[in-house]
Amino acid sequence: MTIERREIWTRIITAFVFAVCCFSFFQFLLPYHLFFKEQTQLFLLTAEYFISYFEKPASLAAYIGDFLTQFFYLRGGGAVTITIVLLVEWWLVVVLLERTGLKKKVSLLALIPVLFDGILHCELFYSLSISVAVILVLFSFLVYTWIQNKWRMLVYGILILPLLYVISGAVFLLFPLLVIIYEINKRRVRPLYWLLLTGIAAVFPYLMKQVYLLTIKQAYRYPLATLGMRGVNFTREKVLALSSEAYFGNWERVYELANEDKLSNFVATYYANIALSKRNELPDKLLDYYQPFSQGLFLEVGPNSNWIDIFFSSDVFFHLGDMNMAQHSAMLGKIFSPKHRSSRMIKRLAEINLVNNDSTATRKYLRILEATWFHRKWAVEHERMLTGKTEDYPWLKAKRSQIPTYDALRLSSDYPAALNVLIESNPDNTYALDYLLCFYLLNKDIRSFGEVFDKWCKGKSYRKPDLYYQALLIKLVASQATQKEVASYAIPATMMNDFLEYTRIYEQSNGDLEQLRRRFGATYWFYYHFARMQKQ
Amino acid sequence: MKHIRIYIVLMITCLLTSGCRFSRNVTVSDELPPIYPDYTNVTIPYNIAPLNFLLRNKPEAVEIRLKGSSKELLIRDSYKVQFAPKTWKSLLEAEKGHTITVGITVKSGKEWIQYAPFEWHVVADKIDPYLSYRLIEPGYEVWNAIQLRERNLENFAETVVADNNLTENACMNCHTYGNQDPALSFFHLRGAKGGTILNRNGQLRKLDTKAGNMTSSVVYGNFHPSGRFGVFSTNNIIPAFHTHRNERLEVYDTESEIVVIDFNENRVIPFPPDTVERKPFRTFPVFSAQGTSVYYCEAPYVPLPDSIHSLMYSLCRIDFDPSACTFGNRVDTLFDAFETGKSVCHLKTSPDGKYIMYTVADYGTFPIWRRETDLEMIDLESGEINHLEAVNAGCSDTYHSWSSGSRWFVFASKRDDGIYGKPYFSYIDSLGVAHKPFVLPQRDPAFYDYTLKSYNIPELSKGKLPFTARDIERIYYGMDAEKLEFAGK
Repeated sequence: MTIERREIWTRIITAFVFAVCCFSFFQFLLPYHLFFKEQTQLFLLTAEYFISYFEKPASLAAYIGDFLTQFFYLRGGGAVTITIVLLVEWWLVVVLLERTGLKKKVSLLALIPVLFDGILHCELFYSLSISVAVILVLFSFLVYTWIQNKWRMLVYGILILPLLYVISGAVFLLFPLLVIIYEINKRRVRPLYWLLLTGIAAVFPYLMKQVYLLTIKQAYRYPLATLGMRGVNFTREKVLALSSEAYFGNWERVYELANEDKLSNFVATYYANIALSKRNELPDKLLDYYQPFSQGLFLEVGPNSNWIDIFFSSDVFFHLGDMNMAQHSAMLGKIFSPKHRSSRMIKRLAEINLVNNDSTATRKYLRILEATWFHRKWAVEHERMLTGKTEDYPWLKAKRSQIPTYDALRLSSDYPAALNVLIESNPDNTYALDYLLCFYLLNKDIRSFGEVFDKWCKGKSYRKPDLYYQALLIKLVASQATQKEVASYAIPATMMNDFLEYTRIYEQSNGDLEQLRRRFGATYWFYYHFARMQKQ
Repeated sequence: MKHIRIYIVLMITCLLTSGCRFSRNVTVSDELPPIYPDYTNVTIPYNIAPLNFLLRNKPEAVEIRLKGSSKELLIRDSYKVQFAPKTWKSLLEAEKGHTITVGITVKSGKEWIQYAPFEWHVVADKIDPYLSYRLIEPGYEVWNAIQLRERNLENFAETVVADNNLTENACMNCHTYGNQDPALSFFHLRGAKGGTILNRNGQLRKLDTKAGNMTSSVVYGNFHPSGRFGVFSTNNIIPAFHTHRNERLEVYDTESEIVVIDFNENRVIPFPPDTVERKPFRTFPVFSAQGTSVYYCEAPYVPLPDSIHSLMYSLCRIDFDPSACTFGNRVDTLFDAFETGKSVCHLKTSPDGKYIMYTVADYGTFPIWRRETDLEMIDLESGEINHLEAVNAGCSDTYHSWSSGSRWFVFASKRDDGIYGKPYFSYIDSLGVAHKPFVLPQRDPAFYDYTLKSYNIPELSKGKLPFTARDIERIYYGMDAEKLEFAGK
C-alpha cells in the first residue's frame, strides 16, 4: 500500500470513527440539549427574516447556523446536523494542514480543533452559528492559500477581513492569525502586512459597533454570548429531558424519568409535580420527591431568576388552567430566551389563546408558525381546531372548562389567590385544589391549609390522601381541638395510631431525625419537623 | 446573427407568457378584496409612504388599477403588492385633494375575480413626516430588549434613537415631543445611571427628577409650548394580573401627584395642597396649547386593588401662570367620570387649541389591555364630545399624538390581534369629523404578521431627531444627572 493510499484510508477511517462517536454522543447522551436549542429559536422562511440577520455581525453564519438548528426538532436530527457540520470543519482543517506542507497524521491532528468545537456544543449558549462561522473563515483562508501572487494575497487579505466580520462575526479574528502562521511556515516574512491585517482585525469591530449598536465586549465576541467551557452537564440533560418530554406531551415519560432519577433539583421537582398532578397523585406521592418548599410547585419569575426557569414557568399554569398567568410566563420565557424568540413559547401562546377562544391572537401565532418548516403542520392542525367544534377536541374542551369564570386582580407571585379563583370558578378542578393544599403544606402554613381543606374537602366526596390527614392531625393538635372536632374529619384509626407513635418516638428521642426517618421519613410530620430550606 | 435570433425568440416567449397574466373572463364580486393591512376606503396624507398590502387568499396573480382624477395606473404584482416609491409619490402628488379608486382583480385557479373597488382619499393636509415609538415585546411588566426608533413616514427609513443594549439593559420610557418639534423632546432612561433625557435644540441634558418628598421620579408628562416647563405626574405604579380571559394586565397607582418642572431653573413646582383627608390620584397632565392651564386626570381615593372597578378618573383643568410659575386655585371638571360612567386617561391637547383627545375605559388609569378602551375628543369651545366612532375598533385604542397641523393624529391600536400595538393614523377634517384610520405602512406588507414587537406611544414630529443611540449611551455613562430643587414643602 502506498503512503498516499494509506493516508486516504486513515482519513476515511478517522472520519467514519469520528462521525459515529460524534453522532452517538449527541444522540444518546445529550439529545435533550439539542431539542432545547431548537425550542429557543424560531426560524422563519421569509425574506424579511433573512434581512434581519444583517442588523448584527455574523449575518450569514448566524442565518445558516439557525437554519440548520431547525433540524434539531427531529429525533436524531440534531446529532446528524452537528456531525455533518463538524465533519466539514474537520475536512477543511485537513486540507489547510496539507497546504502548510504537513503530510503525516494530518487527519488526526485536524481532529484537535474540531473536538474542541464539538465539546462546546454541549453548552446551551453555544450555537451552530459559531461552527458555521469557523467554516466560513477556514474556507476564506483556504482561498487565500490558493492565491499564488503575493500582492493579490495582500489585496485579498485586506478586502476579505471586513467582509468576514460581516458574515462570520468575531470568529474573523482567526483569519489574520492563520495568515501569519501560514506565511511563517512558508518563510514569507511580511511584518508590515501582518501588522496591517492585525490592525484591521483589531479596529474593525470597534468601528462597526456603531453600526450594529453593540457594546465593545459584544463587538469582539458576537455571535458568542459568553465565554468559558463548563463541560458536559448530565444533570441539566436530565432536567431538559423532563421539560422536553413535557413539551412533546409525553407526561407518562416525564413521570418515568422523574422516578428513575429522583433529582434534588427544583426544576426536576417542578416537572415531577405536574406529572403527578396529571395522574391525580400529587398529594399521594408529593413527599417521595425532593421538595424545596413551594419552589417545586411554581418556578419563581423575578429579576434574579434564571432565564431557563422563566422559560419553563408557564407549564404549570397551563396545566392548572390559569391561562392569563400561563400567557404572562410564556411571554417572559420568549423575551428572556437568548434570541427573544422561541418556537416552543409561540406554540404555547397559540394554545393559550386557542383555549381562551381568542381567534385573532391565535391566528397571529399560527401565522408565524406557518412560516417555519417544522411547525407548519402543527399550525395547520391548530387552525382547524380554531374553526372546528370544541367537542371534537377533548383536550381543548377540558382546558376551556378550567378557565376562571370571574375576574379578580392578583400579583404575579400571589399563587394562592390565582388558585383560589380557579377553584371558585370550577370546584371540579382538583389539580388546582391539590396544588393549593400542597402549596400551604410545603410552606408549613397549616392554618391556611386547614381553611382550604374545611371549605372544599371536609364532608365532601373529595378524595383525602394520607398527606392531608397527617397535616390535619398537626392542625388539630395545634388548635387543641375537641374530640368532636377530631371526629368530624373521620381520620382513619391507623393514621391516629401512627401519629401517636411518631409523637412518642419524637419525644423520647428528643427529636432525633435518624430514629424517625426509617419509619416516618415519607410522612408530612417528618417534613414538618425537619425540612429546612438550604441557601443555594 | 444566431444570438439575435435567440433574443427574438426569448422576447416573444416573454411577451406571450406575460400576456397570460392579463385578466380575462372576469367574474365580478361585490365583496371588498381581502387585503391586509385594511387600507380600504381610508383617508391618507399626500406625503405618506406607499400603502403596500397583501391579499390574504394568496392569488396567483394580481392586477391593481389605480384611477385618480388625472392619473391612472395599472400594476401587476404577486399577492404581495409593493408600489415603486417614485410612482407612488408622483401619484399622490398629482391626486392631492382628490380620490383614487382602487380596483383589484386576482387570478385564483383558472378564473379571474374582480373585487368591489375601494377608495383612497388623498388630502392636501400634510402629516408630520417623522414618527417615534418604543419597540418592546408585550411582556406586560418586565422588559429585555427595548429600542426607541424614529421612522420617516414618507418612505420606509427607520433609525434607532436609543437602545437599552447600550445602557445596561435599563428600561426606557417613551419619547415625548414639545410642539411636535424634534428640537424639543424628553424621555426617561431608568437604571443606575439613568435620568430624564432632555433634548432642547439638540443639547442633551440628564435630570434626576426625584426631588423633595415626591412619590417617584416623574413619569407621564408633556411640554409647555415655550419649552421652559414640563408638567409631569409622579406615580407609584403597581402591575397586577386579571384572572379572566383576555383581560391581561391592570396597572394602577397607589399614589400619584402632579408637578411642574422649570427646566431653566431646575426647580420642581408642586401642585397646590389638598384640603381633603385622603389625597386623590392625579395623573396624565398636559399643558393647554396656550400654556395657561394644565389638564389632568383625577380620581378620588379608593382602596386598591380591591376597589379597582370603582377607580374612576375625571378630566380636570387648573390654571397655570408661566410668568409667576404658579398654579391657580380653581379646578374645573370637563368630563365627569361619575356622570358618564367612563374613566379618562392619556390626555393630549391639539396644537391649535381646539380639542383635547383622551382615552376612555370602564374604570382604571392604564387600560391598554382592555378591549373597551376607546379614544374620544372634546371640543374645548363647545364642550361637545366626539366619540370618534370611525376611529375606534373592538380592541384597545390608546396613546395618541397630534400632528403639528392638528389635522392628523396617530394612536396605538391592538385591533389586529389584541396583543401587539401598531401605529394608526387618522384624519380630522375642518368640520371635526374623524376618518377611518390606516396602519403605518411597511415595505413588506407581511411585516406585522411576523413581528413580535409592540409599538408603544407613537409620537409625530416635524423633523428628524438631532441625537442617536450612541449619544444616549455617552450620556448614560458619562454625564451626572442634574439635581432639581423642590419649591414646596
